Amino acid sequence: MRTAPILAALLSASTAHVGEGARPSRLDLDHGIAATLPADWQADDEASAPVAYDTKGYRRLQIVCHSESCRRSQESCTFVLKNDRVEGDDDASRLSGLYATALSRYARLRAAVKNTGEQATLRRSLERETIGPREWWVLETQARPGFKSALFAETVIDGWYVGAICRTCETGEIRHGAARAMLSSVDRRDSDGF
Amino acid sequence: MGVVPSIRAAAPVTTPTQSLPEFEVEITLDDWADALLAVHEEAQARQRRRILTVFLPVIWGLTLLGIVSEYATAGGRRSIAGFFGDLEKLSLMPAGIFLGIITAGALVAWATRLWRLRRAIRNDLRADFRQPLRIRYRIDEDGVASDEGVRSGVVPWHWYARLAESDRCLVLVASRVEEPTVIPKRGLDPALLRELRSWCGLIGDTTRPSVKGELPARANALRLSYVLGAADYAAVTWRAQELPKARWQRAKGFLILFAILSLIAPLLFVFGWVVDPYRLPLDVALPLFIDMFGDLFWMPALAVAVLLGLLWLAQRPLRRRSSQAWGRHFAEQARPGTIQAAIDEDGIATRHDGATARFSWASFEGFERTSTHVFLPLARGLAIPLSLTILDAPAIARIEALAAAHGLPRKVTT
Repeated sequence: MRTAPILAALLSASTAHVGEGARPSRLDLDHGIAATLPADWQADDEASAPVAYDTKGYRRLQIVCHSESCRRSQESCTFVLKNDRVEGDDDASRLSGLYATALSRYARLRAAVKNTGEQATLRRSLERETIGPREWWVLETQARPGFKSALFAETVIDGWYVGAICRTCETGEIRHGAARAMLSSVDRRDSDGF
Repeated sequence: MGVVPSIRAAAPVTTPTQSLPEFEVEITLDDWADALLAVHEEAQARQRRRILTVFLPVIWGLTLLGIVSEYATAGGRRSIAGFFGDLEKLSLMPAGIFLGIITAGALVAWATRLWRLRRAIRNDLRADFRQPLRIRYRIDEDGVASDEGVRSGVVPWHWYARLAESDRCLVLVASRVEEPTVIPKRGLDPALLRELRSWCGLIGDTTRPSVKGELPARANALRLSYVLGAADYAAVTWRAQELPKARWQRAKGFLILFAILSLIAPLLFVFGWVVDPYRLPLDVALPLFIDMFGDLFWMPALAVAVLLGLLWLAQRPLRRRSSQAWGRHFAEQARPGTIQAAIDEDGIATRHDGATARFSWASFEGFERTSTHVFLPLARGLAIPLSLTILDAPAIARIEALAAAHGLPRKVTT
C-alpha cells in the first residue's frame, strides 16, 4: 500500500535534485511545468513530497538560496500553483484575464503590500513583463528597513497558474537577479533539456 | 437676527380695551415663511427630534452590532466578557470614523432643519412674492377682516387656534387646514401691536354671532352649497402633486437619489482606502479608482437606475393611493359645516362656519377641469375645488365661460 507514495517521492526527488547544492537543478512544479534552480538554491521538503494541494487548492514550494552572497540578502522564493485551470482561449488571454479589472489589480497590489508587512510601499506597480520565454504580471514591494522586500510574479502556462513570491533583504537598485533568472526558466518540462 | 427665527407662543393677553383702526401691511416671502413654520411648528419639532432620538441611536446600535458580529465571525470569544476583554485589541478606527461621519451628518441635519425648511418654503412660493403682498386689516369683535384687493374676507375668532410670534411677525394659526393670518410687525406702532396682542385674546371665542342670510352676490349668480369630503381633499392633493413645479421637484429628487445611491459604492471604496492600514499610495490608487467606474461601479449604478426606474413607474399609482389617504386625513381635520358659494361676473363669494371670503376673477390663475373636479387655482398654491357631483353641465359651462371672459387660461385633464 505504501509503495506508490514512496515511488512518487523518489521520482520527484530525482527530478528536483534536492540537496545537490552548487550547480543548477531542475524543479518539477506539477502539471508538466518545471523551473531551473540557480546554483546554491535549494527546494524545501515539499518539493520531494508527493504532489499535494491544500484545501484551498494551492500548492506552495519554497526555494531558498544558500550561497555566500545570499547570507546577507537572505533570498528565497515561493512558487504557488493552483489545481484548477485558468479559463480562457490561450495563455495570453488567460494572463490578461487574471487582472482584467481595476479592482483585481487594486486587490493584487494591496495584497502584495500587506504580504510584505507594515509600512511597506510599492517599488514597482503591477505590469506585464517578458521574463524568459513567457509573459508575467510583475510587481515589486519595498519593505521597511530590516525586513524583506518582495517580487511578485504570475504567469499562465497551458492554462495552469504559476505564481512566484521572491523575497530579499537587498536594498539596492539591482535586486531579485537570481529570482528573475529562475522565473525565466519556468516552462513546460518537455521544453527543457533535462 | 438669526437665519431661523424663534417662533414662540404669544404672552397671555388681556381683554381688548379699544377698537383698532384699520391698518395696512406688506407681507414678504420671509414673513410668509415664518407663518408656515409657525403653522407646522409642532410637527417639524417632532420630526427634528427624531433625528437625534431615533435615527442616531438606530445607526449606532447597528454599527455596534456590526462590530460585535465582525469580532465573533473573526474568531473572537463568544462572550460579552471576552468581547470587552479584547476590545483594546480591535481596530475600531473604521467603525469610529463611520460613526463620526454619520453622527456629524445627523447633527448638521438636525441643526439646519429649520433653515432647510425655510429655504424649501421660499423656493416654493418665490413666484407668489415677487412683490410684497399688501393687505389691509380690520380687527374687531367679529374677527380679522382682510382685503388684499383681488380677494377679501372675514375670519372669525373661533377659526383660530393660537397666536404665534416671530421676530418679524404675528401669526394667527388656524385651528384647521386653512391659511394663517400674517401680520408683520415692522412699521406698526408698538401701541397698535400691544392692542393687536390683546385682541388675540379672543382666539377660539365661539360666542360671536355667526353671519346669516344669503351671500351677497348678483341675482343671476350660480349658487352652490356643498361639504368638502375625502374625495375633494384627495383631488386637491393629487392636483398639487401634479403641478409642473411638483413634478420637477420629484424628478430632481429621483436624480439626487440616483446620484447618492450610485455613489455609495465608490464612497465605501474611498472610505476603505482612507482607513486601510495597507493603503496604496494615491498616485497608484487614483487611476485604478477611476478605472473602477468603467468596470465595477457602473454595475450598482445600473442596479440603482433600474430600481429607481421601476419606482418611477410605480410612483404614480402609489401617489394616487397616498393622495386618497391624505384626502381622508384632511377630511377628518377639516372644519365641519356646509360651504356656500355664489359665482357671478364679479367673482366668487363663499361662506363657511362664520367666515366669509370674496375672490375677484383677477385673483384666480386659471380654470382647470379634471374627470372629477373643477379647480380655480389661486396664488400661494391654493385652489377652490368644485366637485363635478355638485355641478351640472350648464353650471360647468357658465364657470368656464366666466373664467374665459376674464382671460384665465383653461386646462382640461382626465
